[in-house]
Amino acid sequence: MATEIETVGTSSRDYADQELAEADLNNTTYPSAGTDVVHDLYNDSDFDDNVSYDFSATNVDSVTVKAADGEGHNGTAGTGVRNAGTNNSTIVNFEASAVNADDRITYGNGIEIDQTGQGASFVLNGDHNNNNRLVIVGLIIHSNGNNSSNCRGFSSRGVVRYKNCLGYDFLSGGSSAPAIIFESRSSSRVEEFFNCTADNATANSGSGDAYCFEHGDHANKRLSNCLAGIADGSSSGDHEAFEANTSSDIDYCLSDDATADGGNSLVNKPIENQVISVTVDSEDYRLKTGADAIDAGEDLSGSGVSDDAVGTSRPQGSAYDIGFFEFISAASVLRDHGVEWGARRGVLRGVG
Amino acid sequence: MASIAVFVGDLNPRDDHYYQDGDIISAYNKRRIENKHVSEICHPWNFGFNSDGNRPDTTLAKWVCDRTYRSRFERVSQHEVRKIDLVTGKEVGIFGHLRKNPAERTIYVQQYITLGKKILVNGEWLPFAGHKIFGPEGSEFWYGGKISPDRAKLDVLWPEIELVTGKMRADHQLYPHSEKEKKHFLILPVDEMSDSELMSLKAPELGNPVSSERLGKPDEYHVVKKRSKKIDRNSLDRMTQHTKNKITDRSIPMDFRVFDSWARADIVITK
Repeated sequence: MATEIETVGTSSRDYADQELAEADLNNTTYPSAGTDVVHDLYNDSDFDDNVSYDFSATNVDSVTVKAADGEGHNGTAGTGVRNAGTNNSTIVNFEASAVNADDRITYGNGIEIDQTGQGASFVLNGDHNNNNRLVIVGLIIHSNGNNSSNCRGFSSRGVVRYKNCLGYDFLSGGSSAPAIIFESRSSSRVEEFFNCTADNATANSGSGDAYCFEHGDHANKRLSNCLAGIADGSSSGDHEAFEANTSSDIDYCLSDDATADGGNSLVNKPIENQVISVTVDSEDYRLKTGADAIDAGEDLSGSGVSDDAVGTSRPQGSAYDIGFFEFISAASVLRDHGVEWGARRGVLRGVG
Repeated sequence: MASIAVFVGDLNPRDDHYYQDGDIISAYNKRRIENKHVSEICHPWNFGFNSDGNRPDTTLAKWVCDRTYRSRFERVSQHEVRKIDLVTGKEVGIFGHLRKNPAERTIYVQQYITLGKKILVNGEWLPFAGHKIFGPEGSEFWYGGKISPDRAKLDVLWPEIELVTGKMRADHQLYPHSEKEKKHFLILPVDEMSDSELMSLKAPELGNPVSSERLGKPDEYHVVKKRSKKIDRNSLDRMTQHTKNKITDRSIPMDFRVFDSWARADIVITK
């Protein structure tokens, strides 16, 4: 199976606009039938695109959209490929098709969607109502809501697997609007949430709910190794890190409140004791020394999770960590590496 | 110069799940175009590092960050940081994991800075050249809460950009399409548009609302057409038949921004 790699950045790349890169998949003659297409995004400048990927995109067998090697985030905002919201609209949408093929679209790896100042009802929207499994991996979505609108981050009505994703700072404030970071809109389709982290969902209007993980409470939902922080607000609705559960398969999770279900889950563990920073605009959700989430997860290698959001293999200790980032002791940071830069970004740019 | 990027396909219409010939794939107004250029010119990665391996605090990148972010954090001690609200110009407070601020959440400053400049590669912490820490060691500072500049903000930024870099605003009025984009799509200059008009041009057509599977969830709107607006490239005026024939050749750039702009009202068709 041939792999076609397209670069996306500014004028020096194959494409400067993600929307054009996606539309080119729709051409009848290009790429060739049966191709696996990779869109490598470069951090030449901010993106401000609204992209919609269709599972039936012409001839291609698969589409992978990720940050190019060395261009992705290091687990924190503002450090790699960034899509800046500018129009209060969905940033990434995935549409339906009649073709059944799992994992045909993989999106994320090193990409950040920054919604500061914006309020999209659905930042990432899985609008596919069929049985194609969408894979969202290594994606950061944050700062959505602007206190005036519906406010959903990772939201889908189709078959989806989220792994190593991070969502935080979702604020809704109008017309009983909810603030939901990870949301299931389907009752009939399998949705999996593996090693994801969510924090600071706030609903401030009427009966609006606030959830870090609203999983749908159904037997076809599975949550494992997920870390949930604060769900709060002045609304009269539910404020829960994990939606109340009777049927979903939830275990090996951690919550700031008492809602992480499962015999191996940890509850009432403040998120500020788990991660480096939860200060607004200076967040760093990588695990800190001594976090309860370290080595508290389960082995998910059989479910396609073998590394974390920045490519560190799991486990590093005695077991998988909970959350999107696998902890490694920071003792080695004191070593002097001179001019040996991290392989994720090997080029030292000079003065422009 | 505002512009649109038009899909060039065969003229036999396909299923509405596919883009069709003439569909407006994307649109670019002055704000969007200038933001793309500003973001590239002022990217912190363009300005190198100081002797401490941090971003230099005397650069255009720092000047632009001061005007496009809502918060700046300044290290004041090993474990404490001062947060500045850049919108009001006021200090929010000084805090860390030892000294708490009731209006702010916790930050472990030492770890934030140390690990902020690192990335894990194959299980080893290595210096991370994509980090966002400015200033001298011990007095580091960084920014958070980036807000994409609106037109008024761009009016503030460009004079300084011109002064420091010599790159003139007037020379950055075209969206920086790649060569491949110019060959595969039809790039047409149009009259300037607002942000809402821009979104309308590239919007899909949605069907009637359908109840969500899950009780209490919002109605679903399915895409019935990839795009709701198109142009008829064969009826565009000011083009020769020879040119119209070349448009479908994907080896030839079709960038018409050397022409005067078309009025959107004259060429945009609602499908």
